[in-house]
Amino acid sequence: MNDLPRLARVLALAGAALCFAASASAQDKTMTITATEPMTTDNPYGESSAPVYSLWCHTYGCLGRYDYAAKKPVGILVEKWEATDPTTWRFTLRKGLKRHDGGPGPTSADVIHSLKRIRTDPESVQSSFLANVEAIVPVDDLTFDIRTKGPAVNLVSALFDRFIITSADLYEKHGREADKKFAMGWGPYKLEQYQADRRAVMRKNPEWTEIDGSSTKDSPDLVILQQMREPEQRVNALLNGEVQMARLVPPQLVKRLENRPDVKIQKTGGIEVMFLAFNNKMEPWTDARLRRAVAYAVNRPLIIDRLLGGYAQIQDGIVGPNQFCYTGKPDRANEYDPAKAKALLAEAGYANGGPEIEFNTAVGRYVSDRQVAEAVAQMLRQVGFKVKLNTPEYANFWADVRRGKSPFYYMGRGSIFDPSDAGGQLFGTGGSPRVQYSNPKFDELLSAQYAEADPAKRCQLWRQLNQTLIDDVPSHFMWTHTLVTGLRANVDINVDSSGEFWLPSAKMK
Amino acid sequence: MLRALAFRIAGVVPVLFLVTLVLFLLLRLAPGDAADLLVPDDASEAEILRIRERWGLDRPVLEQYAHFVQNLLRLDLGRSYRYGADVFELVGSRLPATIELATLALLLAAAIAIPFGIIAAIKRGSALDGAVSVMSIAGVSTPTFWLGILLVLFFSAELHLLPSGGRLPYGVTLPEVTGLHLIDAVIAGRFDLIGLILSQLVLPTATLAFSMVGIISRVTRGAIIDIAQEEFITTSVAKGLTRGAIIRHHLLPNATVPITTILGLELGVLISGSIIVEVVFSWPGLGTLLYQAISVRDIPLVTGIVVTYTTLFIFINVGIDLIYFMIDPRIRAAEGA
Repeated sequence: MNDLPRLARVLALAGAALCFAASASAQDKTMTITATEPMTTDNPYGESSAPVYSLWCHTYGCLGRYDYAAKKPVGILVEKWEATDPTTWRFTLRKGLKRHDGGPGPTSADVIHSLKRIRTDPESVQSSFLANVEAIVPVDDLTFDIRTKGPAVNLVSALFDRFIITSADLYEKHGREADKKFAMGWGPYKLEQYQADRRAVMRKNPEWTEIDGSSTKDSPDLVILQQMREPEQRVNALLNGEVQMARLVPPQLVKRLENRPDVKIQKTGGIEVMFLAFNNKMEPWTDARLRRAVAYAVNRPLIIDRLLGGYAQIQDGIVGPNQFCYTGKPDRANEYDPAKAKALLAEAGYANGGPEIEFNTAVGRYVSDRQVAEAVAQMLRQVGFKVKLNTPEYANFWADVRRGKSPFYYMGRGSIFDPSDAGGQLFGTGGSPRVQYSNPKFDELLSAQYAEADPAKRCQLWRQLNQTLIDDVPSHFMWTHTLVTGLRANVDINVDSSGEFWLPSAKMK
Repeated sequence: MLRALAFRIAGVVPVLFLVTLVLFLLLRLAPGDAADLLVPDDASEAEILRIRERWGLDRPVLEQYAHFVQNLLRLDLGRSYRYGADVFELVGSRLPATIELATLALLLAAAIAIPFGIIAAIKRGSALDGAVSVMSIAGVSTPTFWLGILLVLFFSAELHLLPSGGRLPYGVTLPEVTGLHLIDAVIAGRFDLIGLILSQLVLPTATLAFSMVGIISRVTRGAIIDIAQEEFITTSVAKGLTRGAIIRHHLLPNATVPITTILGLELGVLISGSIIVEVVFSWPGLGTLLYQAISVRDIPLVTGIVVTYTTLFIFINVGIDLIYFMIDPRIRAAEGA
């Protein structure tokens, strides 16, 4: 019994320590945000994920960002951009920006240096989004042209949010050490600390002004991206007041945040498209009737309701409500209809059951992926498929998918906003071995939309492309997950469809 | 004794060689390619090839192995694919966090389990013995990730008493000498930070310790019961020694050898087995690093971490041998003979 007061003292001491941390946070208007993706290197080109791009975009600065709420691109380091011909875009950098150390603002030379680093730095893994860029040509200090290998009306959406601009001058002087000791750019926040797998800390850049002149006075002074990969820990840390923003709250934990005065929930329609992919050159998926049968056999609303807690939106085709160029529901969709599925199987010669198929899924990579795959497998069995469900380790799963060795699998494709590049890679002829779909009509429409400068006409082309994918079923599209973010009650911040946010427009009371 | 120790230490070399060889072959021959996992979804085949070339993954396995051994002989485990940093530096930066956590967990477990084991042995067959047995079974069979989450839920989310994870919060600076925060705080005279450091350590330490209390208390109980049946104990009772004196002078000293053995083994298990607890608590130790490394087939890093675990395990065993030598006169006599 004598130990109890001692225990209480220890706990009180620990509590006091937490209060100390909390009070320091309050003075600084500090926002701690959970980071869910790996943070492994301070090289701004050494990782490729939306959260990492967002970190460097806020600190070094990137050309611009896409404002999902306003549905338009917004400049960050550039103030103007226009297509001067089908393969050339002209960008103008903002005047009056200062580097965090007081150095000069960004110039065309910095942009060219950044392209070079992305392409030649041995640690860089970002060159894929610049694959279509042939060259960057300076016009003057603040103006440069980006020439593409072919027509690329989607260039702005491909580059914005991702093309991080770093200082040519600092890199020339310090080489790779510049990322460690002179991580200074032009963004709205200055990098104060980077500790791999632990945290990145950013302090508000007092010189920063938003391009539209909107006020940033209520935005946090200090932002800590604290790595917390376990969803349970993120939610508990939010409830404990250790963090102000818990990202990617899975459906099963949302209830713990509901009906509480100290936290609130923000729900955002995501752009990671989940789908059942077929390898269209592997048997039996060369037969379109069987692919269609799968589409009719899967009851997507039921899975969303029972397994995903309602936190997903049905997606028909690669262009859904959260993607660019969504023009409303498609003319035809593959709705749940087990009778049609059975009829198609019978027509394909499987009236008495079969065919035997292997179905692969990653485990722990996507929300409730294993449970979803088990439900899908069961639904397929109900219409007659003989399904063997495999749950390989992700490295093996992904290797097979990438090499075109997986016949049928459940997976997601992140950050499909403008569907051009992902659509081409997954469904264009020769795009990649993952799906092995080939349709000259699709290829023709895809090329046409790359060259169509009129957004309305381009979106009509996408409507046709989308319908082609729904009708041919090279993959059966399932849904996009709803991104659930837990916030402390005193924080206002908009999480966009990519799962990211723009800190200067955040508000802390 | 010294000869035996030297022999043990010399044994490190072939053990490490075998471990690295097996690990290298397993990782190289396992399906899945690090290059696939290092690039984003939209990477082209050319990009993947570039990454494979950069890390030498495009070379024949035998050539890769020769290169690996060549580097190993220079004590160079190479650079991590994922972190782009030197493997030894990475491991060195994370090791103290794991050692601090494992050592404290072992001390906590021993402080609880040894007295409980002794009491359970002395009161053999009593309700208390039963309670210790139940606790032991619970400790061994409770999954650590589940217990960790439960503790965080209760002490962090509900009671707001302790942090949910991490090591030192941002803004708290502590000069690093050993990397062990408690010791560094004492060295730097920053006694004001000890409460904060302990608050970060409490939950992961308790989670790890709980699983060991059962094993240590069972071994302690068994050792005491065995020794209590020896003739010299019967003689002690016949001589009229008090129970306390028998426990202090005869039972405990003789039970120390098996208890030391289990403590040493558990420390090794703790250091190499704290992965799940480190991930649950975002503890920046070797476990989280290994988790990350395995997920992307970061072969140099996985190898470096396993080599570290192996070396630590061997040195812990050498340490145990030294302790045997110090505490057991029979071993000293045998060595002297």
